Amino acid sequence: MSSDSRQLAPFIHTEKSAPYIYMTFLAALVPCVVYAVFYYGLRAAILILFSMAAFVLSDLFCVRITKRRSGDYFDLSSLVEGLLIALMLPPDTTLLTALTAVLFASVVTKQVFGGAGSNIVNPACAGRLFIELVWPSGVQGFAYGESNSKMALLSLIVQRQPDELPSYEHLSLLELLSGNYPSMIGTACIICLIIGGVFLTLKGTIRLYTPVSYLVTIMALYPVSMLIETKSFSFDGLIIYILSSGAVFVAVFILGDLTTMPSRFASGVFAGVVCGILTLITKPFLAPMVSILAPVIAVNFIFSKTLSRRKIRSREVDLS
Amino acid sequence: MFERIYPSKVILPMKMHYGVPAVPAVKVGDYVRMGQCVGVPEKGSFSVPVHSGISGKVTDISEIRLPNGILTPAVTIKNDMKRTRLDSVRPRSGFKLSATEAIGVIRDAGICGMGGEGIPTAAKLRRARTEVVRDFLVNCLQSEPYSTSDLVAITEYPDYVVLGASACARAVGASRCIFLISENRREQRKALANSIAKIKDDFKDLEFDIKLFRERFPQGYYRLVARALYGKNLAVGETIEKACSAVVFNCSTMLACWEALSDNIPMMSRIVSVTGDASGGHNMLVPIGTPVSELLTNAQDIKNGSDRIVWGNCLTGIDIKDPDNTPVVKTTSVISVVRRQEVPRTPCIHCGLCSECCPMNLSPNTIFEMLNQGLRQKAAEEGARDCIACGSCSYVCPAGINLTTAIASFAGEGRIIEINSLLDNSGAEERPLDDLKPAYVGEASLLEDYSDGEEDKSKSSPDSITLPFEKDKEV
Amino acid sequence: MMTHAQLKQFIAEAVLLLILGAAMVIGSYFVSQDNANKRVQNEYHAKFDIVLDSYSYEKVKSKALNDFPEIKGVYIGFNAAGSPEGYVIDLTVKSPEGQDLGILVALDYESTRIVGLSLTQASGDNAYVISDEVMDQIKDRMIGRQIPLAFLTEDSSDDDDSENITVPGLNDGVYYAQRLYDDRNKYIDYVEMEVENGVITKIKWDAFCTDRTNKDRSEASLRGAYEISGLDWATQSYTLCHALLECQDPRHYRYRCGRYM
Repeated sequence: MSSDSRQLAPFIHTEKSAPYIYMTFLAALVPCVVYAVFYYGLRAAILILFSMAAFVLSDLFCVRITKRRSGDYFDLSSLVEGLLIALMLPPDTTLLTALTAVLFASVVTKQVFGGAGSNIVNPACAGRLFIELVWPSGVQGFAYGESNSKMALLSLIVQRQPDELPSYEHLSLLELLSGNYPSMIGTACIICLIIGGVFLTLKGTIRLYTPVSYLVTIMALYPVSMLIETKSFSFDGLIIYILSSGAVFVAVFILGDLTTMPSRFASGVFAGVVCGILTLITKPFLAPMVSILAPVIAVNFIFSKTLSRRKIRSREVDLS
Repeated sequence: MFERIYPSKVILPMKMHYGVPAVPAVKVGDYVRMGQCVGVPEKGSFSVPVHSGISGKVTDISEIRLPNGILTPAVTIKNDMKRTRLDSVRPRSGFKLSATEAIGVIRDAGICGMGGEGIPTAAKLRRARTEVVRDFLVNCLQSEPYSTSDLVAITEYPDYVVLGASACARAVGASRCIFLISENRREQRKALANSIAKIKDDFKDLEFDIKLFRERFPQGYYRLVARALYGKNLAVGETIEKACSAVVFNCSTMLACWEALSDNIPMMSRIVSVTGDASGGHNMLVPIGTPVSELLTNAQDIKNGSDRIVWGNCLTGIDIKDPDNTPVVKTTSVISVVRRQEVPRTPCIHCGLCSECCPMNLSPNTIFEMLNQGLRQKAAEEGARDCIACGSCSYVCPAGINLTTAIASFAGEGRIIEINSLLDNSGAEERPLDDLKPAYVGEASLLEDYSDGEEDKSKSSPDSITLPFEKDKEV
Repeated sequence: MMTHAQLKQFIAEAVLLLILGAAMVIGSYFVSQDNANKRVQNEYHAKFDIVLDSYSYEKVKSKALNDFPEIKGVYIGFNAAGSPEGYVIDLTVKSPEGQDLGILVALDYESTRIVGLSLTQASGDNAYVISDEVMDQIKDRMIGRQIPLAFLTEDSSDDDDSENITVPGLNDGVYYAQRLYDDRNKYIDYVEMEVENGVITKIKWDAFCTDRTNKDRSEASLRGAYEISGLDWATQSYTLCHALLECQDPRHYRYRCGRYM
């Protein structure tokens, strides 16, 4: 009955094709890019473009080498992941460091597992974590304030002396929200992140329950970890930690990812909670970026492919 | 709310329902009046009669193939535009029917499930009666994209729907009559509530209820209804009557039942939506058998040519190439006109959207991969056999993978709505059909005035247990 | 792979987000910059109020400072009207025993007079501790003096301003000193001095212009571009230098510069 000339049902298809999903991610990251370029100038722009280009080329190269069906489509996920890596770098990162992250992300975490969409862990997250672990001094260049020149390019080539990040304790809420303090080039501006998150939510290309449960977990359990750690608690500390640690960026753009996070509601919430708990547990022992990113990788590994089975459907009928 | 169509011709397939085809009861050249029976079920077979919705001359009796692959004889009638009615087609006065009589009337009126499953309503009612059901569910959830024909039926004839439902509920001996409707159809909800309030006193033995559902495709499917209302997961083959002591009917079917019971109108026309993203929303009251092209010419805003015409809704329907010769059948609730669309194909990105939207809570991507690798046993364990082929996963897949076809063909259920139920036994039925047809052509003339008698009979039959129709046939 | 309309819509949305993002980033930057400045000012106030109580402080950015690793920062204090009041120099020096000593020195803006002196609590075990009593004594002696007086002190512990750092007594060599900042006329004064056998043999006081197109101050004054009351500046400078060469007797010097211990 299904002769070959005939298309089979369904005859309508959602507009949310894979390129569409990646495009929304790219668009949602635009405000963060604006932030990066506004605060860190030319070198941030070059870092972003470089790591996107490097990711695309590396992916193309891998596909060519493995002779995998490259298809007639352009893999926009490379652009997204390149951009995500770049936004998680400190402003004074050499291109070599960025390239290391990109290559690790592209080759080891993405192409080895079968290319776009087949990756188990989030490539951007893994790449960033990789350089943080093997090259800790390479990702400590946080020139800011008077030493931050918007046109300076030297730090892209020569590794600067590592900067010591100032403590964030004195930052006002306004500064935290606007990202007006030394941090990664794209993760600090909470307003931009919220714009991106709202855009993704409106477009429906993000699953909100993991990010939300992650942030709620951190908010709920941070006082506990703080009490254990310092025997004191201040509400400011909680706000500062959430806003300045990059947790919001991770929540929106990495935990909201469709590919590497569980698809069911319950497992998604569970993954978010586990990720939040792991982050708080590891926080005292690890570098800040590691304690943020490593739990994400762990959660990706544990949950992304295992907890995607059946779910309990939420309310279907109003039995009142 | 809807447009009336008087087509220049109708093509009446003899098999529009689940079961064996009816047998043409007219000859080429015969004059047929509105409401006249042109196809009678073979005696004792699982079938329903077919009635003409127009008056005119029979020009052709030939075998056609419906889009769903069913080969069936069809009677083509050319409209003389006089709309001469059969005398019996008039409101019944002061009727008082026993349960079996009511079921008989419904059977003679040729009513079958209009939501799409096409099971003869009389048979379903009888089964419900023997199963002793408690709840009589009326499915007013039309959740297919674009289509609104059932909702129009409710808006326009809320009393008929409610009365038909109450009558049928009485006939099967149910104690509760529950209307299932989606929560954002306020207008229809109000209409139903009003009608219920009006007739409540006449049906004191029945308890009326309206259950609100979330708007979601394909919520109207009986297994999903069973899960939502009773929290029971029906296995394949299990019936809702047995498991939940409930029976589900479509609201359009209830409307047709009441028309048959009170106005004595057989099922000769129905409301069809002509809709889709390439056309505006139209609802048309068309005689059964109207060629699809006639509907399309009435929906003037359809841009002909590049658009795809789908027989049925655009998620589960069938693409048709020849709208001139494809009729609207009893189960057709919607004709969709959709734009041709290039779906980008990329590899699976494991987004999990398909498992998120699957009404049966399957993981289509996992199953698809298993099937691709030939792990059929594992796929079955994963629940692939539960697939109801609603098409949601294919619709939502960002990678453009046709999951539904792959999984549904494995599940062996085909399509839930238009095709599957008919297809189920069509293979077995086709051969005997060919043998039987010539034998009954001669008899057709004998049964020519049958429809008159049938209508009268059903009206007057006092309290016989045997079905009026079968009695009639013996006459 | 994507329809034209979709692509168009996307570009429109991206541009919208770009504009929105830019507006938010820039807007919030300026809104929060105020806050950030206030916070920084508060920090400065907490630190510098003992030595120089100004309305606001601003950090000096100068490449010249790179040559002096012991200087942690130089700040200018402004009064409420916005005109400069003085400098605060934050530096760490090594005591003879190799211990760290953090010092804050405040200088008057015009006269390079010391107006404040305090110890910053150097962190670590290596801190050189000076008791408050001693510190008060030192302050007593230092505050109100012109900077050059420090050249001759023998005690290195309260040595400060490293631009003018020198060894006690007049050792042979060529010395050079200049102002950190240009004055109102955009000139930076400098002094070059050559000492041979403990005697100043050559001295030149002049000022170069930060605006490179202009000549040095002496040359400008000779051409009439720089005018002061009385004789032209070049002559005055020459006279003064000459006078120094002539009366470099230490007793004279002492007399002119004030009391010592």
